[in-house]
Amino acid sequence: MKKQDKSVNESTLLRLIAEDALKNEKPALDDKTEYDNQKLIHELQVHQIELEMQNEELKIAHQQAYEAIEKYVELYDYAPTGYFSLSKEGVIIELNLSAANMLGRNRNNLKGTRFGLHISHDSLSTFNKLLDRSFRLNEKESCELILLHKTDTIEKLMLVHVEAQLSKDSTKCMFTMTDISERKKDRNKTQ
Amino acid sequence: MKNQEEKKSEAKDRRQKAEDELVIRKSSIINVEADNLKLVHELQVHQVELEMQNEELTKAREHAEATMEKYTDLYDFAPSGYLTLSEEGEITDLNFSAATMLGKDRIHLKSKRFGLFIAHESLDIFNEFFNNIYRFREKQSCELLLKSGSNSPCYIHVDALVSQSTNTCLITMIDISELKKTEIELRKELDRYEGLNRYFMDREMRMVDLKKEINELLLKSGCEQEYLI
Repeated sequence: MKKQDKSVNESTLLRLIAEDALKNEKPALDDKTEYDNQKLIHELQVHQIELEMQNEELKIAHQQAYEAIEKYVELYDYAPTGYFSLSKEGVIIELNLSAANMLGRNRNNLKGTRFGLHISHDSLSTFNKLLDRSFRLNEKESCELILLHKTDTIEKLMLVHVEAQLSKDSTKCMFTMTDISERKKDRNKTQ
Repeated sequence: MKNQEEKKSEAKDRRQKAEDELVIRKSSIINVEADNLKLVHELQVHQVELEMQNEELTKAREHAEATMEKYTDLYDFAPSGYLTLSEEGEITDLNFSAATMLGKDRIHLKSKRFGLFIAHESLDIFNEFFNNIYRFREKQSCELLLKSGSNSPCYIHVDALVSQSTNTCLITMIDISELKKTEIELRKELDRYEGLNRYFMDREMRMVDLKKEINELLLKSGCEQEYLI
């Protein structure tokens, strides 16, 4: 059990540090009366149990937070829609897995790149307008863009519908992207 | 994050509980006076240990809470509608955009059937779509018309997949009413042209018949045919 070993090591380490920290404190018992000693021991014991309980509560709170994070991270990463956070300059701050898949690239390689690099030249001005409007007007904006899907082996264009909205703290633009190539194809067929 | 008052009253509770716990534990301590010095040392070391551990846990908790807030914000305030359906088609979770699109408060939408919000003419499409999600277990898309209280119809484009860990159905939706409107106008225009086209075709066919008739008449009266058909 590797995990247990690790926690044993951690607690030994904690113990050593604690012993060390105590050396610098004043001796507690020397010239006190037996009554004082008993009182001190009582205080310490109470405080110890207090700390143990607090410890336990913190562990539970941490566990709960962790479970909630897991749920929301899954909702984020595996959403059926591509989802980006963009800076005012149009740089990708964050993106979910679906978004990375739509661009055909690895997520880590996409962070920090300009979103504009991944759309067709004709779509650039539409995109810039959308980004500018969403930062300026703080309203939900939407448009259609032509996305470049590029892997080592495939290169294709994709028609996407995009919705953009400023984040609560107004620092970034939340940007979702839905593939509507199929419906456009159907529409062309009827023409 | 908890406020100062709450934290204070929690600490007070804890103190009381600790006192109670000590009474129980003391009964098991056989000889407290035997080596007070050693005991106090042990207690102090353990106390510092616990304090440090608590500090670490507090940091971890704060970090976890900040992360949680980040992801809940990403979910809650996403510009597209996002909802989770149970296998039975009941809404178990949804974000604010989804609630806005369905036209109700978020709290009133949980545990409602998603099908209730779909217009009659789209229900068959939705049912088939929902079955396919679980049957094929890969991303499915469709277009639906939502029931709307207001005058203008609301068309949505829906993408869905099954969550592998919870077996729930994750659905995102966008409003495509505007796209749909242009499309419908386009279709009307097309229909008009098609109608005109059909009229001209009929006329052409009638002309052909007429020419044949004239040719026959000319033949019968011993003249040459006039029209090439």
